Amino acid sequence: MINNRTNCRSAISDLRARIGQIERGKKSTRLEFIPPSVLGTGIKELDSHLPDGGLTLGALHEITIPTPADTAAATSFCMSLLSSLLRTRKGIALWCQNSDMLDTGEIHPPCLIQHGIAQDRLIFLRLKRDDDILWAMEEALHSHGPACVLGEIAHTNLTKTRRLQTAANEADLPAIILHPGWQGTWNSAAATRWRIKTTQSRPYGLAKTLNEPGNPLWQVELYRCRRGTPGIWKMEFQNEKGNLSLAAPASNGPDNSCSADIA
Amino acid sequence: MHNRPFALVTERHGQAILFATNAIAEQEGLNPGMKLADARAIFPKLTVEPTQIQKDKAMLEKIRIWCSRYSPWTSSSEIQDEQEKEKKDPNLILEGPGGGGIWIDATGCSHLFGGEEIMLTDLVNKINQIGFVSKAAIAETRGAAWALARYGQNNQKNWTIAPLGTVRETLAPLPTAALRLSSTTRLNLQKVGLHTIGDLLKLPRATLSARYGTTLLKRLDAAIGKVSESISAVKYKEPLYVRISFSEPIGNSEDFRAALEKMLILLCQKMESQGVGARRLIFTLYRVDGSIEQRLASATHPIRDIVTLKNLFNDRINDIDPGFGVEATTLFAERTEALGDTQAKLSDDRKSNNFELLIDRLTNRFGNEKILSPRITESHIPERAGTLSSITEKHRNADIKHKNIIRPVRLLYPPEEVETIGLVSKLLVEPPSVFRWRKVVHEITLSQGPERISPEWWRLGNTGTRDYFQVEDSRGRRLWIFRETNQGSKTTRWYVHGLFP
Repeated sequence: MINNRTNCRSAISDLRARIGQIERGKKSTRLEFIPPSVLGTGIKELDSHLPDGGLTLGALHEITIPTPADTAAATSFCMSLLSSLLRTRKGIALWCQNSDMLDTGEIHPPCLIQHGIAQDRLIFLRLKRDDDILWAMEEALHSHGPACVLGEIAHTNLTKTRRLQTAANEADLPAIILHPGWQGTWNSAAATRWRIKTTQSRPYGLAKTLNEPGNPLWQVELYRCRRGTPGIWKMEFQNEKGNLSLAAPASNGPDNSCSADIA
Repeated sequence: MHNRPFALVTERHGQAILFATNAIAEQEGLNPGMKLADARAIFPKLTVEPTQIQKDKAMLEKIRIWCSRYSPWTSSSEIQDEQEKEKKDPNLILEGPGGGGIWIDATGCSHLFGGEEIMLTDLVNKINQIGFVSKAAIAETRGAAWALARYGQNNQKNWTIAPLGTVRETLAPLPTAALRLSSTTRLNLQKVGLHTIGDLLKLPRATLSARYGTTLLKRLDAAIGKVSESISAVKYKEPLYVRISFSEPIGNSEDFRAALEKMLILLCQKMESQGVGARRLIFTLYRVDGSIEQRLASATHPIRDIVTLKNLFNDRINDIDPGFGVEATTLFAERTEALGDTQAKLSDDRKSNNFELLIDRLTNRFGNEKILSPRITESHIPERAGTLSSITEKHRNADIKHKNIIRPVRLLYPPEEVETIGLVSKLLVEPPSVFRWRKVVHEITLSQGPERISPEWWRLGNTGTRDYFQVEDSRGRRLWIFRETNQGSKTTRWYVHGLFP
């Protein structure tokens, strides 16, 4: 019985993988499964939740900033992903910015050091129009040049994201969209959609008595995941190490339990 | 200017001296190298102009290029060896009749013009037509030709030909200056009564080199043909310029593309033969009505690949307004850089190359200033510590040591002033407990600081001393705020400068 069940499971996962392969448009002459290249986030719980065992590289990922106050958290999350990508892959990342969206601040280069991103591995492109950014992103993916393409976009739509998703898939390169959620939403063809919210930090150790802010704490929500299920995690950005981890369960201090209500 | 004494003046050791004089001035007894004050004493109405060596050189080079119609081997003769080093003063290279001249290696060329006499007459006449007085000479050695052109007995047509095998005899009556000697050597020779080349030729060689150095002997040998002296000719460089004219005016973008491709094929061939790649290309379209339209494409590295170069123009051809039609197009490689023959690689290098090509495409579409690269500088002032600047600017990234300092992810330019609510201590350095920023009230629950950052006094436009705090409000928003105290008015203001994750 147990044996039967595991067989069943493996058959289902095999089928899933094949469907995924067909969805990704990878045509193989043999009926054998080619695993998609993935980016491990470095967080076990998150990787095991994602359908391919990590973020699919040849796909579009979207990160939504729910309120202006969450901009820095979302940027930092984005940089953490980028950092683990640049560690494993060669090349330079292209980050397209919308110059109209800079009222929430410009990226401050010294923070790249903290996130473990070498400054010569990131190039910014600053444009005014969303359509130009989408054009540049698509062009960059087609060129196979960069290691990763990021774009800060205020408005787009299903068709445009589908174009990006296809381009990313063909190039086998990740495309990441960072967008301010308060400026509007859209139906998207992205493989994953995330929402990053900042929450109160837990003062740790000595800092607790001194009332100093601790490591940044975020609520990371995967609100859409193709071939997978949504999920919600509490994450901590380790200031010293410069990486992401799941937040340790709160022993005391401010209540950090995840609330189901998502603004 | 031709009918009255005229001289060019330069400066040597703080004195104005004559650099060159015209024929009438020479008749008055004014010679190059003379002090201007002395010259004015002899001839008070002397007209003078400052010397422009660089322009002279450029003009000489132009004439040299023109002279390549007589022979492929030409070079402009500035005295370039020992004498130049002796003088140390580069301004004096062209001094006196030893100045600018052009060597033409006419071996085997003169018959094309109908003989040496006709060739020289033609040369002198043509240069005369341009507006210069010239003297020319043909001899079997380079040194002899140089001497004869300047000191020889010219005929009315201003040229001399030394018959074959008579170099010694022809040179013998000429002054020693004709050997391209420095003024000190010349003077020393004069002191002992050696005035002509013939005088030198009679003397034993050993004593000459012992007294006057090896240069004199070298020059003498070269002039009479004992040692050979070659002309280091400047090789002709084909301009990287292509033009196509159309019998019927063209007017649609597909035709422009085809013309561009055709020109690129020719241009790339030219560039390959010169071993260069294009950094900047100018594509010009000439309309029937005489107006022109230009498209410029630049690259971050030299390129010689037709497809890549074509792609640089790709997005900028559709918006060309053909007007009444385009009758001709040209393509010019304005800036080039050496590019060796490369072999296609199969490894990762291709990827970095792809990235460079992508940057080129983006640059050509959006402009240089839109593509930015993060720069981190060793500075405590946040605005200076990290900037985004154009990738074209050369910059040496600082080796950052302070790795553990936590800095915000996003920084506001400029910092935004906040409205503090309630009581803020003026004596204690602590952040306000409540403030309003962008119409939102922030209640500070946690704070870390102060971190005092003083302005860098050696820079202009200083800000005041700032005390930075990392604060967190009741909703988990982490901000970087600072207090700036103005010493003069004793006012304290609070600003938000950055956002922490």
